[in-house]
Amino acid sequence: MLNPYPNLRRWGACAAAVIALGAAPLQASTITIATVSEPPSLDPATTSDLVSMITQHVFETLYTYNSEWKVAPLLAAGFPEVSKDGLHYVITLRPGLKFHTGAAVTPTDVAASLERWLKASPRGKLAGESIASIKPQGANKVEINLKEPFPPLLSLLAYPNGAAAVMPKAIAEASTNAPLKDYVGTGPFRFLERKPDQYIRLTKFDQYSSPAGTPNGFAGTRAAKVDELRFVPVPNANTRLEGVLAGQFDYADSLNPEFFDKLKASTAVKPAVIKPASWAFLIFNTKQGAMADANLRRAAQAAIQPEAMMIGGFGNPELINLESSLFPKQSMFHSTAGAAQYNQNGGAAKAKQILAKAGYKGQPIRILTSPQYDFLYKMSQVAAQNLQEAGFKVDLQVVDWATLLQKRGDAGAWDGFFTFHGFVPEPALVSIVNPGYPGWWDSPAKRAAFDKFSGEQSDAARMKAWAEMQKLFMEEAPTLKVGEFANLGAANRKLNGFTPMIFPAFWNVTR
Amino acid sequence: MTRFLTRRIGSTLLVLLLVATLVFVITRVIPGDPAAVLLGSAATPEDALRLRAQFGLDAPLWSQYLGWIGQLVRLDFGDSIFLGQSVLEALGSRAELTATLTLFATGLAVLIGVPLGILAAAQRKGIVAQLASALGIFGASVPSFWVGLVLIQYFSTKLGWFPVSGYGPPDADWPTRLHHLVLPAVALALPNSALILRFTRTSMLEVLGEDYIRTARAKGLGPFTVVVKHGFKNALIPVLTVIGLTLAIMIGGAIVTETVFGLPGVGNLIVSAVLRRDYPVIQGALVIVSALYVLINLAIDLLYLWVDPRVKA
Repeated sequence: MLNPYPNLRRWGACAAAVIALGAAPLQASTITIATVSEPPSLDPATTSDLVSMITQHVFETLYTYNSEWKVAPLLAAGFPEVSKDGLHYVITLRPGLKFHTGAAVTPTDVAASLERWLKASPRGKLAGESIASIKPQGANKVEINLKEPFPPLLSLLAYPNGAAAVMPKAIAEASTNAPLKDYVGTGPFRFLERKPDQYIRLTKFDQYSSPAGTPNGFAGTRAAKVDELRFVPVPNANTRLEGVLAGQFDYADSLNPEFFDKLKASTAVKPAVIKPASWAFLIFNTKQGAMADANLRRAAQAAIQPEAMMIGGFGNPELINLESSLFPKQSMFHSTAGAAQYNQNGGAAKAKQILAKAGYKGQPIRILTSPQYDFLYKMSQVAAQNLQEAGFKVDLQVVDWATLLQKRGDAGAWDGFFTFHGFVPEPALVSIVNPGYPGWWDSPAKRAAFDKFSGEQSDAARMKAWAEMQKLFMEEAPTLKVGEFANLGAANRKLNGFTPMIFPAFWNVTR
Repeated sequence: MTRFLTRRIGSTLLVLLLVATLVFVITRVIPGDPAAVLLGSAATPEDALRLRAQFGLDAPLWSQYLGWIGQLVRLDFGDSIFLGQSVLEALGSRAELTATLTLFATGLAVLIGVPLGILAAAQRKGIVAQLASALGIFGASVPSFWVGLVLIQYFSTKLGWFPVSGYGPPDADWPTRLHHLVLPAVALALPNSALILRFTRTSMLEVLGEDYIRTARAKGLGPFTVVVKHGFKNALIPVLTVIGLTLAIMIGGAIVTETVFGLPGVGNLIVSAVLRRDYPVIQGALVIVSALYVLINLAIDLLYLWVDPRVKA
C-alpha cells in the first residue's frame, strides 16, 4: 500500500495538513485482504477455509493441484515411485528447500510433519487408517508404507485444507497434541505478526525455493511479488464491500450475492467469481429419529424445490448452478446417475404418496438452520414451506452457527440440518462419505459401494465406481444436495496476476 | 463520607460476584462448543471431544466454576482459546481503542447535545429550537449501525475523506488512528447526543421557570449570563447523570459500531468471542466491563457530592 489515503486531496487543506502529519511514510508494497473474520487459528491442519486461504502462503505441502484439479508436485521433486502392489510410496524432495528459519528441509522434518498431520488433521486421519508407517529415507527421500492400497493418498497430501503442511520436526512434534504456536513453513511468505482482530502480516521470504513451470492453479512457479500480505478481519460484509470499492483493501473475500451488480458496474474493482466453490446440503439424520426411514427422506427429496431454494438463497442466477452430482462438471467424478430424482416436477403430490405409504404420522421433523449464513437461512425457509406443503410437519430451529455445530453431533437432537460444503477434488474428502460425520450415512449398500470404490486404482475404474456411489446417494437420499454456488470476492483492478481460486492466493500477484 | 465509600465498595464487590456467576452460567447454558468452531465444519464429534479435553472443558461444571472464581480472586482471567493471548492481554490491547472511541463519541455527543439543548430551552419558539427537537427525535430513532453504514457509503466510498474500516496500518501514529475513529465516533455520538439534548432541554426548561431566574432577569443581567451562569449550573445534575449513563450506553453501542467499522476494540472482541464460544474471553470481558459500569456509577455519585453539596446531607 503506497499511500493509504489516495483521496486526501479532496479533503480540506487544513484537515489534510493535520492528517498528513500522521500518514505513514511511503511504505513497502503491501496487498491488503479483507477477510470475513479473525481465523480460529493459524494451524494449517484445521479445515477452516479461512485458515487455508491464509496459511497456504506460509506452509507448503508435498503436492498441490493445478487449475484442472490434477495433482502436481510442490515440495516433492516429482511424482512418487509406487511399488506394483500400491503399498509403498517413495517421495523425493526438491533440492534446495529451506524453512523460514533458514534451515534446510530434511526428510526427518517431512516425516514428522506427516505424522503430525495424521493426528491433527481430519484429512490426515482419513489417510492414517491406511498408512502403516512413514520413514525418512537417505538424504532427500521419504517413504510411506500402506496397509492396503489407498489411491486418494496423493489427493489428500495435496489438499490445502486440513493440509499436510511441512514444518520443522521440533515444531511438528510439539504441536501434535497442543496448539501450534510457531508458524515456520517453506512458503513464499513467512509469518511476521498476528494482532488478533486487527491484522495478520506475512512478509516476503527471500530464500524461497519455487517449483518450476508456468503458474497453473496452485501449481507451477510461485513468487512473492510484494513485500507484505496483510489479512484484515472485517466481519461486516457491507464494510468489506465499501472498503474494497474505496481502495482501502485490495481484495475482499466472501461478499454477498446481492453486491454482484454493484461490483460489475465498478471501475475500481473486478468481481472475482469463484466457480465451482461450494454447494448447499440438507443433511438428514440417518441414525435416529423419523428421517432414519429412507422413505421419508425420499419424500423430502421429491418435495423440495432446489431451484426456488437456490434463487431464494442467492437471488442472482449467475452465481448458482442446479446440479445433482456430488461433484461439479469440472471434476472427473461428475456423474448424472440418479439425476431424475433432483428438482422433481410435481414433487409435492409424489411426496404425499410416499409419506402415506411409509405411514408417516406427523412427527415433527426438527431441522437446524442458522442466520449466520444468510443463504442457508433463506433456503431453509423455502424448504420448510415445500416440506409442509407435501405433508411434513416441520420444526425449523433457528440457532447460531456454533450451536448448530454442537447440536448436530447429538443424534437425538435433530432430524435435518443445513450446511454447505466446499469444493473438494477427491470423493474421500466429501464430508458425508465419512460415516462418523453427523448424518451418519452408513448403510450396508453404501459401505459395499464405497469399499469397491476405494479398491479401484485406475482413473477409469474409480470414475465408474463413484458413479455407483452417486446413484446410491440419490436412491437412499441420506442428504439432499440443493445446488452449487459461486463464492463472490472483489479484487482491485490494480492487482495484476490475480486468478480467482477457491483459496485465493496472492503469490505471483503485483500491485 | 468514609461510610458512604465503604458501603458503595462493598456493594460493588457483591455485584461483581453476582456478575461473575451469571456470566459463567450464561456461557455454559448457551449451546455451542469452542472445539467444534476451532476444528471447522469437516471435523467429527470425536475430534471435538479430544480438543475439549485439551481445554479442560470436559471437567465437571462445578469444578470449572470454582476454578473460575478462584482465578478471579487472583485477578487471573485465564487464556483465550483462540487468540494465543491471555484474556487480560487481549482486553488490554483493545481497551485503548474502545476507551478513545467512547470518550471521543461522548465528547461529540456532549458538544452537540448540551448547547443545542440549552438553545432549545432558551428560545423555545425559535427555528433553532424546532430543528433541535427534530434532531432529538431523529437521533433517538435511527440505530447507530445504520448511521455508520450511511456515513461509510457517503464519506468514505464516495468522498474518500475517511477510511472505511480498521484502525490504520500497523505503524500508524495517533493522528492516523484518530482519523480512523472520526466516523465511528460520529455514528456512536449521534443517537446519544439526542438523549443528552432532550435531557438538557427538559432540565433547563424547569430551571428557567424558577423565581430566581426572573429575579436575575429583573436585575438586568444579560441573557447569556442568566441562561448559562444562573440557569445551566443548576440544571446540571440531571445532565451529568445522563452523560454518565451515555458513557455506559456507549460501551454497549461500541459493540455494534466496532463491528460495522471493523475496529479491533473490546466490543468486536466480545462479539467474536461469543460467536466462537471463547469462554474465557466472554467471561473476563463481561466481568471487566460490568466492573467499569459500576465504577462509572460510583464516580457519578461522587461527582454529585462535588456539584451539589446538598447530596452529602
